[in-house]
Amino acid sequence: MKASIAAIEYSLPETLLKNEELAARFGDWTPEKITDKTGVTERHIVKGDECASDLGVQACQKLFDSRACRRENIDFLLFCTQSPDYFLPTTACMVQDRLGLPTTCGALDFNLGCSGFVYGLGLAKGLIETDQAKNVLLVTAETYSKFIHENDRSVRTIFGDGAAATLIQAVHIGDEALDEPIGAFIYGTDGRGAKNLIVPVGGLRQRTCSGDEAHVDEFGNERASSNLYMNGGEIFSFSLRAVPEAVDRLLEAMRLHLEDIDLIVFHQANRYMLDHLRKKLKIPEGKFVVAMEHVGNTVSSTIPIVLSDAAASGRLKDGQRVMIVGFGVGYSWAATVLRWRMGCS
Amino acid sequence: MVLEMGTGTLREDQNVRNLEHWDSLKLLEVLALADELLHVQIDADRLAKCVTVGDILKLLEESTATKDLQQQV
Repeated sequence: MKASIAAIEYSLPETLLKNEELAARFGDWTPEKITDKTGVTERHIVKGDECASDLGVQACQKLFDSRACRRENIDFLLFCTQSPDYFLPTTACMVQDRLGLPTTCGALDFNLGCSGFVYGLGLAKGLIETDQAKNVLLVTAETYSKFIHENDRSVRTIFGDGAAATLIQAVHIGDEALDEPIGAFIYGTDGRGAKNLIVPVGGLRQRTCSGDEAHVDEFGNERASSNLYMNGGEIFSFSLRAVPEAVDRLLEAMRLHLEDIDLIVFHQANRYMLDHLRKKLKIPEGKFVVAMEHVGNTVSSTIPIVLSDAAASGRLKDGQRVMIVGFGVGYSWAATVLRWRMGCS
Repeated sequence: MVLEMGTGTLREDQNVRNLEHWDSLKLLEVLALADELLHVQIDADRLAKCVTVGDILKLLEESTATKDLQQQV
């Protein structure tokens, strides 16, 4: 038995944050300039009482409504978020209850951002191909907006909230199959980058900060220690180092060349970085997906959202090889190649 | 080209933070150009601390020299 992605659905909160609103706040940037600089025109943002788990539940409900599978058949739930409902209990336990999944189901949270979807596939493949599970529900759900200061242009223009629910099933593949539905994995971790994308205060290392007032940085961005901080330059440098190396390692592990890959989907961090990486790796434009204009950077959901849309539009077809690379906060990164075959067993 | 000014109009002692188009994305563009044209990855934090055009040039020279040395070793 091999693990295979059978279905993907996603859910975005209703409230839209458009560039017009941001331009009105940040006077020197027009809406067009924001699109030009980030590749994002609008992003979806949760309301005050909405949590990542709510988005995750909605995405899962869409999956069940699409008849991709029955909730009674789910035997493992993997919930990837950096915005849990509580420190404890595990958000996945509460999602199991809200979705009415069987109490015989395993469930856990894991805390990753941009690399989360690819790590989640690795975990699901491990569970399925060791006969621990047959129907794994991988949920990626994030609400970075709750950490972001309203006057921090550097991150407010980029990040959007959202969740995706991916069903990974055990399938038989015949001897004639060319390669596995979910291929080899490349993983990477470099904690030296931890300080470059961080919410410094609020966790247990430093729960509160007395007199934590917002300060303004040299580019006019305002944030307090309990807000998200991103060092864009360092993240960019890291990506230029890590992503090409990960692609090379993955191709070597799978004994493939870039020409053998039909579609390449990187984590949708920002358009400028993606364009530069595409040129650096000499990937033809037609094979490379940039699709963040209407959702922004939804962290661990960027890749499943792209895959879902690409499959629906026909850009990604059954039988094609698609390379996915998640990279960012941590620093953490992971990559694999999928042999696309949607549909349920 | 990054600073959207005509060739030959920059002086080494010019303060980049005062230039019209200087913002956090410009840092990325300098990093990208260094990678694309010089095949070096310059230290983003050091770039962020640069005040003048001359500081940036010095950082580019040092990064290129380091890369050349590493390749020789």
